[in-house]
Amino acid sequence: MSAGVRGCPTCGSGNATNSPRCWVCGAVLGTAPEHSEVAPAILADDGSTRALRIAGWSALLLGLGFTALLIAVQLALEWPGLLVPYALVVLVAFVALARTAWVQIRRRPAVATAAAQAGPPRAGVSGVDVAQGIALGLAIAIAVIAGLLLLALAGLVIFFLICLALLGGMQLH
Amino acid sequence: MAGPSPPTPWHVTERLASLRGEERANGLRVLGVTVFYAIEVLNYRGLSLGPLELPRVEGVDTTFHAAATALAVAWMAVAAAVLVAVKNRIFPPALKYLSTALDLVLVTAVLTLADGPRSPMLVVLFLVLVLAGLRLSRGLVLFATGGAALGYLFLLGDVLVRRPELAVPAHFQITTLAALLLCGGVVYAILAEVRRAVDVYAALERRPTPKDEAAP
Repeated sequence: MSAGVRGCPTCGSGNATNSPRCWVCGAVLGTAPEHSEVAPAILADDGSTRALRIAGWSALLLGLGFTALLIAVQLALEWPGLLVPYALVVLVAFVALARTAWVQIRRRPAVATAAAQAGPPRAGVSGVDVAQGIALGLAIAIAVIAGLLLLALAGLVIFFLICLALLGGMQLH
Repeated sequence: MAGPSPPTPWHVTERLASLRGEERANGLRVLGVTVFYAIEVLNYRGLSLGPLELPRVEGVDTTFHAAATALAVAWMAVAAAVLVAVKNRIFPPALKYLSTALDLVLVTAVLTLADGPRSPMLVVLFLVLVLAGLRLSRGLVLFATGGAALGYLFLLGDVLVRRPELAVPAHFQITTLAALLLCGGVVYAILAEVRRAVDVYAALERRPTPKDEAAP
C-alpha cells in the first residue's frame, strides 16, 4: 500500500494520512468536517508531479551526497580516525533521508472532494513503504562504502606495485 | 458547545508559504554549504589540472581547514534534519526561527574563523535575511535582522579584542550595520505589502457581484 495525502476538513491543507492533527491549523484529523466548503485543491497538495518530486529529491541528495563525500575525503586525508564516527552519522542521516524520499515519491495526489474527506480515513504510510525506504538508504550507503573500500584497495595495490618496481630497479643497479 | 474557530485565510496562507519557503531555503542552504566548502577545499589544497592552476591560499592552514570541516558537517546535519522534518510535515512555528538562528550562528562562526568583518563571506548575512523573507513571516524577518546585526557586532568585538589588525574603519562598520538593518526593513515592508494585498483581494472576492445581486 502506498502513502497518501488527506485534506484537512477544517482548512483543507494536505496532511499525511497517519497524522493525528493538521499541521496548519491543528484540527484533529479523521473526524467529520466542521465546515462544509470544499477547500481549493491548491491547499490540499503542492501540485508537484512525480517527475518534479524525483528531480527535486535527486538534486538535494546529490548536493548532500557530494558534500558528504568531499568531507569524507578530507577526513581520510587529514584525520582518518574520525572516519568511523563520521560514517555512522552519515549512515543515519542518509537512511532517514532515503526513507522520507521514498515515501514522498510514492505519495498519491491529494484527496480534494468533500465526499472523500468525509469518508473513513485511509491507512497511512505503511510499514512496507518505510522498510523499502530504509532498505534503499542502506543499500546506497553500503554501495558507497564498498566503492570507497575498493578505491582504497586499488590504491594499496598500486602502491605495492610501485614499491616492488622501485625495489627491483634498485637491485638491478 | 462550539468547536475551535477555523483558521483565518491569512493564517493558512502564511503556514503554507512558510513551509514552501523553508523547503526552498533548505535547498539553498545545501547548495551554499556545498559551494563554500568546495571553495575552501580548493583554497587549502590548491588545484593543478594542466592549464587550470589554482594555487594554495596563504593563511588557510590545517587548523582553519579542521574548523571549516567541522562547521560543514554541522551545517549539513542541520540541513538533513530540516529536510526530514519539513517533508514529513513536522513543522512547528518555532522551526523557522531555529533554522534561521542556527544559520546565523554558523555564519558568524565561519566569519570569526576567517577574516571577520573583512571577509567576503559577510554577504551571507544578507542572504540569511532575504531567506527569512521567503518564509512570509514578519516576525522571522525581525528576528533575522536583529540576529544578523548582533552577529556583525560580535565580529567587530572579536577583531577589536583578539585581532586588531583585521579591524575595519568606523564608516565601514556603520555602513554595513545600516545596510543590514535597512535590508531587513525592506524585506519587512515587502511582507507587510503582501499581507495588505491578500486582505484587499479577499475583501474584493467577498463582495457580491452584479450577477449575485440579480438572482432572486
